[in-house]
Amino acid sequence: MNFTSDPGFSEAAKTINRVMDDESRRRGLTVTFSNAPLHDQLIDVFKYCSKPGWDGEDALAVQRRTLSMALELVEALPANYRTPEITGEPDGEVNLEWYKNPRRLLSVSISADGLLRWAALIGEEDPRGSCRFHGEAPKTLLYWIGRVCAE
Amino acid sequence: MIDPDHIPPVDDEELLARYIVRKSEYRSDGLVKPGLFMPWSRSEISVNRHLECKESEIWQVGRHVAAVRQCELQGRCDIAASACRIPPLKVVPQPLSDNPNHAGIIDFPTEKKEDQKSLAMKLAAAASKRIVPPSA
Repeated sequence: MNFTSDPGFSEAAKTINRVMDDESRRRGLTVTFSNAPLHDQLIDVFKYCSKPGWDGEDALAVQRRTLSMALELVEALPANYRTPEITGEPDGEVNLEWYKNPRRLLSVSISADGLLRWAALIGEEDPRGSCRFHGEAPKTLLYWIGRVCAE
Repeated sequence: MIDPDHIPPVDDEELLARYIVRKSEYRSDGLVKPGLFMPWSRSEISVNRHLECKESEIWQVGRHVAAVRQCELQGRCDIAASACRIPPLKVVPQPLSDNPNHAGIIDFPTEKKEDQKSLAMKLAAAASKRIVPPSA
């Protein structure tokens, strides 16, 4: 798939392609957790959520900066952590979800300025909170990702 | 459909339909995602009561919802009213001029998004899998 063929998409494509190269190098040896879905997902969010009203109602556009912030957060995770599912949200934020089943999941919303608002559901436990992302994955999130993804 | 002149309160046993208009709102196995139940900037979400509603009428409402949002109807999930009454949420009738079966899950907190997310997760966990709409 060549994302640079669409002129309107060229800048994002360059960014994503650069990121894909970096990510490939970084995780090239990881067989279990392929990096391709991460970039495909980022591109999908950009394609479908970057215009106001993309949800058929009054959704805010997901800005490139928010996607970059989401990417930085995922890149800040230890390499053996599972890649989350990434979706755009109508308030313009990006959602990262680690999911095992309906009662074992973690959802993290990230804003353009790095505010993380998260909630998890693990059986009857329903922890939630907020924190800032400053380039390093918050320990709280690492803990809950570990809980959700543990075998 | 319910008699517009006699709208009863929503009973715990009632089934409510939440319409799915985007593929990103359900998973490949048909389970619905929490985002389907997020109110975002609002403090409530819309549902359609099954009460006295024929299957064809339930889908007719769904097609209308999708048309208004200029989306393709992907299906619906059903959820018992009792499962929606997670404090502080309430389920109340909200009849519309063209749909007496319309109801609202109201009183979502609006100050903290993480509180909305937590409730949406619980609602999604209690909802049925996606029910595919009949072909037109």
